[in-house]
Amino acid sequence: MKTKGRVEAVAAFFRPRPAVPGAGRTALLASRERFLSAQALIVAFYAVLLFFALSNLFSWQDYLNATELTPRWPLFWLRFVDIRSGIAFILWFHLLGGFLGVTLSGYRFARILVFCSWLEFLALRYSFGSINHGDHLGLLLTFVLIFLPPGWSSRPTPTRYLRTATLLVFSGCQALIMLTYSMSGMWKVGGVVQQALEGEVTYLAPSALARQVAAKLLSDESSGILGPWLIEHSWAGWPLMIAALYLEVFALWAVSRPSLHRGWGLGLILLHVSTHLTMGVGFPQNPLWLALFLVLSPFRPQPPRWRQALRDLPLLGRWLGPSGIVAGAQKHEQKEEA
Amino acid sequence: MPGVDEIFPFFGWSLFSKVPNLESRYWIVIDRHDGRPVEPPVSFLQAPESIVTGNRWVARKVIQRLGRAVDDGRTEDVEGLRRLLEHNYLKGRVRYELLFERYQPLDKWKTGESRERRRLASFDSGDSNEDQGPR
Repeated sequence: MKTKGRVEAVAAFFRPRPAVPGAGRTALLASRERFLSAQALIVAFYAVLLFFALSNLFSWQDYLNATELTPRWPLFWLRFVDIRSGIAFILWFHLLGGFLGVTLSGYRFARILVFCSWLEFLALRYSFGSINHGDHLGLLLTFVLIFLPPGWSSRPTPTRYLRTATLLVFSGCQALIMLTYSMSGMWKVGGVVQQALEGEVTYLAPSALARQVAAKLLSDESSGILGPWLIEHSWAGWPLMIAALYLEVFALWAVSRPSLHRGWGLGLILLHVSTHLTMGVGFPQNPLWLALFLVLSPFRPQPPRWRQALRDLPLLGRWLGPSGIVAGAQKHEQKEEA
Repeated sequence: MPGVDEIFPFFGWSLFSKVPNLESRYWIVIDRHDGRPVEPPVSFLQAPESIVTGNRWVARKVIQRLGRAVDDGRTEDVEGLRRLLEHNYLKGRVRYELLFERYQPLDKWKTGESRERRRLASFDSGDSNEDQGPR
């Protein structure tokens, strides 16, 4: 009985409060305006993929000259063909995928080919001894978008089903992006527990970020832009580190709270900017996907409702809500709406 | 994190999960290029483009794997990783030393001191006969 109560409490913690009532949530998914916005963003996503495919033309010669590689599993077939011909096929397929995305993305077979072309190309890119993770999100998004309903891009008068199904897939993309951040955050929380038990410095310590930055700059033999300053003023890194942990751990939470989409997207983009300036860690694609799918989210309230956003904040919102600070403001907002 | 690996494109997203209290790394120093001595010997990440090619930061991860393979005595892996490194990231005939160091990041940043530093091996990209240095 007690266990059941605890499980319910945990479920309640993650469940959005009825600030957006059930009927409101359904209306959100069936909205024509939001559907059109999602449609435009998905088309933009495929246009960006074409841009990347074209940018990769600059690396074709290097790939074609490669003789020594350890193919990842999607390239298992390379062992049966002449390696140069196999690599040439992957590169042309990748380019074709870029064009298919902008011309035929209304068809599921084309979206599957786009996904396969990226899987093959990235498998080739990572067959030279190491995997980078900056391209993963783009690939995973091409996978989720395979499930768009037929007619999502062309139907002049989209039915309610079409609007809902398209927005649900869009929401799936948002959830996938945020899941990766939450996973990263949960590992850090696990690291805090493990290092605390072992008596080591954890991410909750003021010097934690300075240590991380120093370690990265030393291993990269780089000086960084803001890194040396941050190491000298380690206290400045402490609030940044706590904010980064908060943003990462609760990223998934923000998906079901449209009022947080824009703020969370911007927050995570700033996280990437700061890791680049301090540690030289570049994830250039991620801010782009965050901008397209979260900052410009079709579900975000317009105009922005910052009070609602404050109320929806994980942990802090629960604390702020009953205090009357936000609750009062909420009443005012509801009055205005009425 | 122990037990966490990846099978592309599946990844656990464990990135910078722990504070590096004691860090270790392998790195290489190039002392000869196309028969001529490189004076002073230069680290791989700082080497000019006449010696190093491709993505250095990807190559750095190959060097870490090579160092671990040498440390563990996995001869076959060492050969494979050397080929990967030498064919894709080094230009011409290069002689290089593989080194290891362990350090506390903030101490090393401020004083330059390492807790441990050793030479693992010396390799020549022209042949696969390595002169195993002191361990």
